Amino acid sequence: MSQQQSDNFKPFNVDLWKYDGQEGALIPLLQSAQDTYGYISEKAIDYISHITGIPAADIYGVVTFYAQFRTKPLGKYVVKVCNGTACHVNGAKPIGDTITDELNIDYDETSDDGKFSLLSVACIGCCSLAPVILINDETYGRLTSPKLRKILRQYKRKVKEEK
Amino acid sequence: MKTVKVGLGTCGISAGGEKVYKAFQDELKENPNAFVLKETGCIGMCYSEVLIEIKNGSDESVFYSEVTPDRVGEIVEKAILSDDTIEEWLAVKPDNKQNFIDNQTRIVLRNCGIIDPGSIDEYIERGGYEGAKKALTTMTSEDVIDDVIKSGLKGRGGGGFPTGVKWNFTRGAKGDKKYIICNADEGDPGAFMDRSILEGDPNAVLEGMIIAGYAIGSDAAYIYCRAEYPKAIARLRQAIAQAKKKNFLGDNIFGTNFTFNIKIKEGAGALVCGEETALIASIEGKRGMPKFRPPFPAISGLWEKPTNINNVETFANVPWIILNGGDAYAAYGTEDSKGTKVFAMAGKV
Repeated sequence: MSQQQSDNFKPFNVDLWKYDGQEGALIPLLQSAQDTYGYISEKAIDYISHITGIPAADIYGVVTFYAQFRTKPLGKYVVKVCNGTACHVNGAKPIGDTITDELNIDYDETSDDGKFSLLSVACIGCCSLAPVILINDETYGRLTSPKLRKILRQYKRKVKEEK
Repeated sequence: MKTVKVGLGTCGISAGGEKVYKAFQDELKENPNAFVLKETGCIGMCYSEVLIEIKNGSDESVFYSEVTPDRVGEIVEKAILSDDTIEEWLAVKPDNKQNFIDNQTRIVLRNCGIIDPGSIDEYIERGGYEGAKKALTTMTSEDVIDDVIKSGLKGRGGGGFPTGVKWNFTRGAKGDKKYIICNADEGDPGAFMDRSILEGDPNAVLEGMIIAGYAIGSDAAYIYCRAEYPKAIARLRQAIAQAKKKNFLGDNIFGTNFTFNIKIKEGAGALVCGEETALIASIEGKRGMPKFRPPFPAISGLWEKPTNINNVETFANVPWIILNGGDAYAAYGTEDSKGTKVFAMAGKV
């Protein structure tokens, strides 16, 4: 089980979030919580509520409003498929299908071994390279199904070696 | 000595620019004085990334397109160490009279793809922060607003409201604390003008904001940038840190009693937050729900204080306008729409 999936919630350092009581800190706090744990757990919401005094229900409202925040853990490698207009027109759908076929996960799912998650994202701003995907912070552009399969298999090999 | 510049905007990086850059670094390890290696932002021909520019001692440039790491060795050998050109790899063939770049008038993109966006000194070398200096030390806030009105600059985010008039509203609004916000939540499909500016010339945006702050009477500003633009955010952070060191941000800027600070707020993935009232709610840490207007942000915006919101490209125009005068800017463009406009083209161009 990856660290991100661990249910053992360690109480974390407020300094980590650079919270100094200023207004408008909720979203940056949530962003750093997610950076640390990979997702926003119920315990994280309670903890943020505790240190900011913002009701947990309000925090939950903010978490569910923004697409960036997740309430479930993600896999080690997060595959984001750009479904912006340029990528859509250039074949984002077959790209998504190829990933589903190769990794055996649908959008918003994580593979059983906790290694891969598949997400759909709006334009990531490099339309000239459409269709584009991101795997963690690495961008892959001008994709075709065979090219994509090759890339995904490299990651699968990497996962095997890590084991 | 020749200089090699590798285009490392998101467009260049996703085409493999960092690998090309590394290949040049490896060549330098073998032959340390062969050339000077630099990185730059988006050069403007994203379709032919990875783009590199080779500049000789007398400032003449050639561009090579679709460079891959395995082409680097040959480029170094032929085009750098000797004076050959590898014609088949050139981005702009010599017989192509319709040069894509030469036909452009670049005001906003004056430095994009030319300077290293990580170096404030390169920005200063090309007249950077001269506009802010001129505004703060020789002009009143009314002069600045008059000049921006005269330039005919309209909001480049799409609303098209005259920028100088907007500034005047916020300037005239009652309130001891006023805010400037730069809307960098560019989310229109296929548009990446703002990203190119932020990644290629972040200081131009900061300088525009400083001038706006001076004109309006604001000492605090936010840049609301979408989290999907990590490179742009990194560039902005770097530029803000360097500008603070040079005292272009902070207290007593250019020896005046003007104080100005800029903070970055990362968006959290909600398209609606490009709308100004939703954007303000998001900075306040709330759900990004739009509100009815009036009151307009100019009267009651961020934390209910008068707030002026402009788009990235709008701010990036301002230093040039102040430095060259509103009339010079108004000489470009059409009867109703003055100046230049950046366009992003994608798809089957």
